[in-house]
Amino acid sequence: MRHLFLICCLFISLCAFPAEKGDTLRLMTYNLRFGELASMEQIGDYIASESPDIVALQECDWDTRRKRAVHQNGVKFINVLAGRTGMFGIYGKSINYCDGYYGLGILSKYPIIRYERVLLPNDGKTEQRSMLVADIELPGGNVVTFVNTHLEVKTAKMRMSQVEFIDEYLKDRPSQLFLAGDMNALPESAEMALLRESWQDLTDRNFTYHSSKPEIKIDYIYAKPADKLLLLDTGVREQIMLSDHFPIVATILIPF
Amino acid sequence: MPGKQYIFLLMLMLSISSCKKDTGLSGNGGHMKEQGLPAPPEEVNHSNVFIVDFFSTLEDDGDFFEKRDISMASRHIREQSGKRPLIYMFDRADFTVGNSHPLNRMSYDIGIFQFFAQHQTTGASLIQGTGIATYYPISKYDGFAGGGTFMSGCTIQVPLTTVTQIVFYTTKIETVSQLEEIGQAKSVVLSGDAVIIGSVKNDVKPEVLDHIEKKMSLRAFSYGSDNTVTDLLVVVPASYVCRSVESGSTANLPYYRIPIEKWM
Repeated sequence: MRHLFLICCLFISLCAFPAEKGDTLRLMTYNLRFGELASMEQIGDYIASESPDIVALQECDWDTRRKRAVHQNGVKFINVLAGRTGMFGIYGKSINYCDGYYGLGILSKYPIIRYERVLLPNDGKTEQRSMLVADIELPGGNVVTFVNTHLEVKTAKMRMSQVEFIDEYLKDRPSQLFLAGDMNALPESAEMALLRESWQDLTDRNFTYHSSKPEIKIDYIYAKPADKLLLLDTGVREQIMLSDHFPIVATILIPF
Repeated sequence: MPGKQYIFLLMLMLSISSCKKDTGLSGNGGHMKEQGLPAPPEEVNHSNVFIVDFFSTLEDDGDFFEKRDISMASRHIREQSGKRPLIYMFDRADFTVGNSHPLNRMSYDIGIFQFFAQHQTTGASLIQGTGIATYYPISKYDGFAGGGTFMSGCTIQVPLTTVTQIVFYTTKIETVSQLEEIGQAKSVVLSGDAVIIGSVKNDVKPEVLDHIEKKMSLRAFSYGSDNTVTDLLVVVPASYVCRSVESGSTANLPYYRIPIEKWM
């Protein structure tokens, strides 16, 4: 009788959630705080433990000499992280900084067939921001476009112009799009509201910053078009204290 | 322990035997052929010369690092002195989904940027490709696959007499129709400062060189011997020239050193 009950339950669940065929992707975004709080080996090992397919990394240094993170002097973050995780790593410089570069990185389990670093609008009074746009070929042959960015922190006006620029820049892309990063904007902000008009937010509302006293959410993963994928799982990793931000991991299915 | 000593001695001997031979326009069975475009000046402007190292057996005989040690490639790059190559290409450096790409280790060991130029769009778990490595920060990496061929490469700000943004592509040409595909897809880029370094199948070489010159208005060079399956192929704008190619090896890693000059 008990076996019959279990078989019935299994049958009902199979009917309710038919097995979808498609590309399952595990996406991550993580602001590294220029490695101030942990070594790249520690961060790399953590990333590897999550087994993500694609990772957006912000505040990535390349061969800098910061006084605030002496242990990272000369370290090429993306090279160490790619080596540590066994993933492909690409780097996009936003600015020259402390004898090296400061910018964005993407790690991918799958080949990156093209990418570009695109400078975002800047009024000359604020730090130059950028986005890294990568086309990645999945094992089945489908190509997705994964975008990593780190938006302006000081003014909402500049942030809004950057959001509008990104949306416009990506509007004609035929592939499935993902936009991940540190948006420096709260969920209720006008900038994030604008994004949500055409993008699906793949994250929950848990706080992502500051890791020692979490009070706000400023990190996101978005997808577009919104109606072509299933969000299987998402979560802020609140136990990871390797930066002043928490990482976010979202798992999605893109049905064939 | 004796085994380790033997391997060390063997590596040492191989390192010592690392050689470089300037074959230039002739010699050692190799040949370099330029199609009939206006000749560049005889005098070399060394300030406008940049170098590419292309590692290959020219046999298209599988993953280059299947039988070769990637750490030797790292050592080759690390120990360059004088005018260093801008970019290093490894034909082939294949990728197996689920594994780490061979150049990943090089990236970790010597802090170089590395890219994978896959040879075709494929859903296969083993993807043939070429590895590209450079110390220059890359703001753009471009890949194209179609018509049974591929062409991928990165844009580098090259410090010549004036800083010049040059696109470095790699490809593998087996038929003239593949060139037509590339020409159609990348005509705008190829009409500017773009360099292609790759391989051409020996039995189609004359038609390919002819097509590049007459249909694409680019300067093409090939280098190799009739004993290999493919030849080295260098394609540059008419305002560039490749005057010679040096072949050499570091340990058991054969490579071709390609100096290219922007002369106009």
